[in-house]
Amino acid sequence: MTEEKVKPFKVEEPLRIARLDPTFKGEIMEEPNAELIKYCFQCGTCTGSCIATRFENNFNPRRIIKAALLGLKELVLSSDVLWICTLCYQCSERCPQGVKISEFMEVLRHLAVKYGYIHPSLRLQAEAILRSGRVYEDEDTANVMREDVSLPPALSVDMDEVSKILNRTGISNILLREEGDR
Amino acid sequence: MMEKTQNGVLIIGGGIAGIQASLDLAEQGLKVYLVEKSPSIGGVMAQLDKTFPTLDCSACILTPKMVEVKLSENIELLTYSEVEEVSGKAGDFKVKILKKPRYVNEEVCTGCDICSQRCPIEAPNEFDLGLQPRKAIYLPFPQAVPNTYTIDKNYCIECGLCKGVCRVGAIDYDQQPTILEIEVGSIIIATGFEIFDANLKEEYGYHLDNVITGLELERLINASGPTGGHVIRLSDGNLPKRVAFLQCVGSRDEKVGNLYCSRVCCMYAIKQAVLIKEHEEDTDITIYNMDIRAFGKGFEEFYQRAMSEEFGTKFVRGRVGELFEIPETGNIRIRAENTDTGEFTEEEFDLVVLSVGLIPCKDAKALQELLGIQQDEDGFFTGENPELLSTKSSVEGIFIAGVVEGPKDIPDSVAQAGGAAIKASVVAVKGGET
Repeated sequence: MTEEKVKPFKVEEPLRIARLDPTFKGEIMEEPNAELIKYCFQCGTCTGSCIATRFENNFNPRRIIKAALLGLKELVLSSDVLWICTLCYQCSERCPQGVKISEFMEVLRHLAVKYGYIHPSLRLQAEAILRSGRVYEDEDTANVMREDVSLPPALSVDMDEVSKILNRTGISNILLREEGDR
Repeated sequence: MMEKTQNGVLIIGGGIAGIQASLDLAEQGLKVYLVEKSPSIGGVMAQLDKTFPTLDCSACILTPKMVEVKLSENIELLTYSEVEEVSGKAGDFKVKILKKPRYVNEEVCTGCDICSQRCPIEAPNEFDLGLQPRKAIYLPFPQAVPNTYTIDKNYCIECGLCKGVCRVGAIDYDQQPTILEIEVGSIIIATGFEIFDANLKEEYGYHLDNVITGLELERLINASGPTGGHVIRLSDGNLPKRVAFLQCVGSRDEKVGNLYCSRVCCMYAIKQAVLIKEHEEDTDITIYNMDIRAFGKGFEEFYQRAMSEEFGTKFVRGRVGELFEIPETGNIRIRAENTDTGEFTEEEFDLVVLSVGLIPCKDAKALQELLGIQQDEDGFFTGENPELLSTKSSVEGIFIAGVVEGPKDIPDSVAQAGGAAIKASVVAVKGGET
């Protein structure tokens, strides 16, 4: 993953008003902690405070908020940058309008998953859990490392239990859904 | 009604608004009591170097007015005094005023400064915001009115040196507070403001040497200030070559509970940028802002001029996220987004100026309780018709002028003071509504 470049978050110009989804803002604001998003006045404090922006300049929380408020639903939910936020809460702490930006990023991630936009890296992890109950599947290597520090071998995974959790939480369904279902 | 002897007017606060109201009323022949809690009238305007947008010398406008107050036969100037109690109603207020002891006899002190020269004790100079010391016996600033020294008992060790050198025998260590009882027809409140405590915005590093407030810069750039008019870095005394201004510190900020715009910071930052350029031509100046509110007469032109080639001030639209010090040099690095380009920027500066906002005075609450006047949620006093810049408070016979009503600049404060004066004079002459 480290080799891959992050897709730039770019609003297409000219902006086609017909392509905007005016209901998207409302949909976001229905989620807990995202109600205050409409108070954003685009001052840039969040981006100026952002630790992730320093390393990946395609990530710009202010722009994501602006795009979301404009109703660029597909652009926002399908973007790579959504998953870069470290949820450090620095922006939420400093926002002069009291917008809970970190929380808002989480809300966007939930919505992205809901609409089937899961970042490939997360999809790989989730699929691994679905398959083996573990994110890190190479049990033998893991056990060698555990032995080095005098730990007993890892417990085997009860896949029935894992499936139950995944089914109950709906994660299996989301993962099994075909891309075309979006 | 014709027979009724006219009453005087009490004015609380001796800043530019209180001074203007006093002069307007005195000129009408009314008796005025001007109460000021500090040793001299003048207020914050006395601390300023220049006024925007004309770059007039602040003291040159203010000082003649201060002297006029002193010379007016109709004005009784009560400095170093506080209003203790108010009773009665419009047209007939009874007011108790506490005169704090100066430990110097006002009647005889000539302001010759010998006492201060002999005084061995140094204390922080409030007028210069602690940027230089003053003595325990002091005159707040050279143009102070009245030209009377005051002993600060928090620092005085009663060594007796000042008493020994005073040629007129003005020093009196045993002076006691006195209560003065007066009757007035109306009251004008013009208690002004305090500046926002920049320490509350931790990410803006006010504790660092090379991060100062706008008012501190005002003292530094003033020719009679602690550095004789040189803007220096407090860490090493060098002249800064790259200066950044951070706007909206303590204003329009939900995090510190001040949602309002302080109205003066945009313009004073632009003014200070221009002044720095006039002093040191090769200084690079960047003003980080959310937007520039140049709303008054001549303001927009001044803003354009600051941006023009003549002054070349750089304006970055973006509120600063955070700043930090580089320990080796004392320089400050600022992290912000230039929202015009969407770029995250990290730039280095020699000096950072925080354009702090205006907040209500700490003792406004006590005054509010004393007089029963309505305050808004920010702590400013509200007039009867705030939409019309009203000078009438919620209590009959009490009027408000200046920043105590809400943040405003000098011309607006003076205009409102004039309005309050005329309204107060009507009540003072006619009495309250009968």
